[in-house]
Amino acid sequence: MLAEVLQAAGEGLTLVFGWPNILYPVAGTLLAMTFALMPGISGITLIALALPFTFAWEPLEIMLFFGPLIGSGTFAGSITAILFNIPGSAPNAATVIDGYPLAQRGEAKTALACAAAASALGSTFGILILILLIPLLRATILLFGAPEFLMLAVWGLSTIAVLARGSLVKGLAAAGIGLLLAFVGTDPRSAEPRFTFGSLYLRDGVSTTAVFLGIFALAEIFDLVLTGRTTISDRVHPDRLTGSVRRGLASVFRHFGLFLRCSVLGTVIGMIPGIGGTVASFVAYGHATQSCRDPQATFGRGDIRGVLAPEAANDAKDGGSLVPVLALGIPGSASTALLIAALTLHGIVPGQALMTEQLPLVFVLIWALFLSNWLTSLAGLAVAQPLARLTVVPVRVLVPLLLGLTTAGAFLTRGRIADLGVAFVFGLLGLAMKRHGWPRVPFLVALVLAPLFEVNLHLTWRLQQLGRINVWTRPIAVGLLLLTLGSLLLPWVQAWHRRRRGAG
Amino acid sequence: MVAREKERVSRRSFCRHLLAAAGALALPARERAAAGSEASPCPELAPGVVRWIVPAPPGGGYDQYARLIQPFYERRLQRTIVIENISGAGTILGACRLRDARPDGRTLGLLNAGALLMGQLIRDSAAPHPIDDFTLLGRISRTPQIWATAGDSPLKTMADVVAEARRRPLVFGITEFGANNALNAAVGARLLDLRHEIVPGYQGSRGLTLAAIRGEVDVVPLTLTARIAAIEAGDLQPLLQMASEPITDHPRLAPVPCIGGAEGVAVARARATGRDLEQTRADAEALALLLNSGRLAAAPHGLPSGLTACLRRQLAAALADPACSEAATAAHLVLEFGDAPFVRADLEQALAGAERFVPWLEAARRKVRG
Repeated sequence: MLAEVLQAAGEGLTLVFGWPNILYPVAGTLLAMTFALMPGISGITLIALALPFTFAWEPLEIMLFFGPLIGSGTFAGSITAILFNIPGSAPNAATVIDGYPLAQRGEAKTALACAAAASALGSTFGILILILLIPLLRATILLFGAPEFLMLAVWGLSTIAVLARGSLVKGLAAAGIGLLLAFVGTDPRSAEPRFTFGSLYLRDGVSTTAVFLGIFALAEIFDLVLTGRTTISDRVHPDRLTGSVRRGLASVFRHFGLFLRCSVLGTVIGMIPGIGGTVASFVAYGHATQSCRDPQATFGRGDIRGVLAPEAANDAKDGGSLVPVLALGIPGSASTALLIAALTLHGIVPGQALMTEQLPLVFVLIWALFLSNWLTSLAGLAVAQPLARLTVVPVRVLVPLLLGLTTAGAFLTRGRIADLGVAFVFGLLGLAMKRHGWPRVPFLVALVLAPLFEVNLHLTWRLQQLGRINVWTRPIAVGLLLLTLGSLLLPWVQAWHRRRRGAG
Repeated sequence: MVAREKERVSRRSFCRHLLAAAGALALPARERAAAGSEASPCPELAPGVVRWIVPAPPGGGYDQYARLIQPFYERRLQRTIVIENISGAGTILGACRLRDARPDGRTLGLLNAGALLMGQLIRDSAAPHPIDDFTLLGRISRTPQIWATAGDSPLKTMADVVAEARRRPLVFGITEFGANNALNAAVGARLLDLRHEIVPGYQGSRGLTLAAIRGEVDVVPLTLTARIAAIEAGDLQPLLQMASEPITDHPRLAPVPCIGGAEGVAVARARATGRDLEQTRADAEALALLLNSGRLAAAPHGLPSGLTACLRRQLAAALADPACSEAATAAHLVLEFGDAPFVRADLEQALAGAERFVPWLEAARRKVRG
């Protein structure tokens, strides 16, 4: 089996890097990068747009072109997140939290380089895990059920305790508002409308992208205008910028343990159908804040680990999201759902048959994804210097542009005018929170993780009640629960230990 | 390895594709409209682009059907068709957008008939009426549903299912109570007089498939076309066809019985349990009709009759195109055109018959909520 996999990997590699095949992934990467710089237009939109033009293509061409569209937009979306506080897509929202403060400190170059390196290495990690798991894909995906997803959500939510540090009451209240907001929509079991006030628009809940763009981007734009700041970095000359590409690259290796843990998190979350990159990046960010409690930690105020963690997880997720596609033909994300649609339209049914009959074709997809992630990151590194200079462009020039980008992003994600209103309302809320010292991150973590928590709580409860599962005999679920308890109790234990030593 | 995949892409092919994609993306909408403004076989159809509303996100079954038909219908109408995915509220949002458009033939779309019928059954005031609010153009495909279990489940036949339900309640997984699969499970189990429990909350047919494979539930109600690959791969085992006559001649479904019909499982169970045979048979027919109501092509209500007739004719011709059938077969999609008058009659019959299911569905929902 291993020899077969290696041979197929070699064939796939030759096909991707052969001439002129390589032009497909390169074209796909450039296209995805360009679109990803426009908030609201993600790889998913791009795949949907490209789908009708690919009817006459061969499966090889589909794999070569669509692989980059799945993954290369991920890093590109973090560029606007770092420079302007505007997440290119929902999964980049967690990068904003520390990326933008770094840009404000004149260290945009460091943040961009760190994001590029974490993205490239994170995606490589995800792809490596995918390749290693090829003989065990099916068994791996079946290890995760409702109890595991529930415990993952609990673990993610537990990080709120750390994220609210400094103003615990305000942080918990913000998380409570996030939870309440997540309940707007349709009850996931009964399908009855909840807090929708008769509005059809609210049946699907509030658009998280519109909320992200409002609470980060619009709030910041309002703040820039109101505070009269001259430039984002408060510097007027590029020479005064202190960031460095080398420092950004080195940060990934300096915090390699964190990088690895977040990559594992991203890969595992990517495997879970329907969860996606937003959960992966927020869980990773939460984990970073929880596990790095050293005195130098400045999360929320420009800690490079706050950029590294979500970027690694977000890109590692791409490899993971291919696991259910290849094992069972089940899409792990919206973009892989479109990939399956494209392949099915060409008579290729993803799943076990594809794995056994056309393994080299599978590797074409994997290598195309790999190549595109590296190309995007290298391009990001190459332009980090000029991009960082955007932080010294006068605010009066930037604001109209940023306002245009943000409103376009809020509208284009779902094509609904009402999302613009949502973004505006949350822009004002974000501004008020910022001005009065209310932490915004616990609010967002609760908003992102609550749906995962709710649906899996119901499922776990009902399945346990009917005797179909026993949560206490599932090692991953119990492990995650212990991890949650451990991370919550550790500060207390440490404090108690310090007190005892002090008393002694 | 398939020889074709081994070949490298020719340079000419790459350039052609790149130019086509770039051209298509760059061509302004107005020019595309002009390109499609030749004389249409439907003279009443105003020139310009035709919007085709798909009430589901890109990549799903509805989107695949729309994109499959698009080029063939475009050719027939001599108009550019632009697909617009308007998803939300379980396909209701897209249906509302289609209902509210001007009835001039420039806005057409797909409808999820099952969701709209369910909307009527659960008295959802926001859901448009599938008959009164639209001008039906025809059925594109049916949405045949089945009961399935894991490929390695000990339940291999309906006899096993019935025997197991005598020992303990069977566990059905569903997505949520507003979906067709809830009706499939709740009403189907009740018609067959099977002791059962329902677990809602799974995410789409992919979530249900995984739930069955993991052994969390015994039976999952699924749309056949969505999971035919899993059945072919042996991951899922079909148990029951939710129809009155065999859905397809697919070999994996040949030994699988139907719920409806004179020799169907519902009638056999009614006979065994001493229930009213005629009523049971009528209920099974209504359930099958409702679940199979399918994907409909429609326009807003009030479309001029001449234009309606022409659009219907061209749609039928587009679907009858051998190239379209070939593309459908390659894509594992099943086209099954239904004339609008027959479809309308089916919908009316399904709605009338399914009224009896409303309290059953409500009882199942109450039981889960506790």
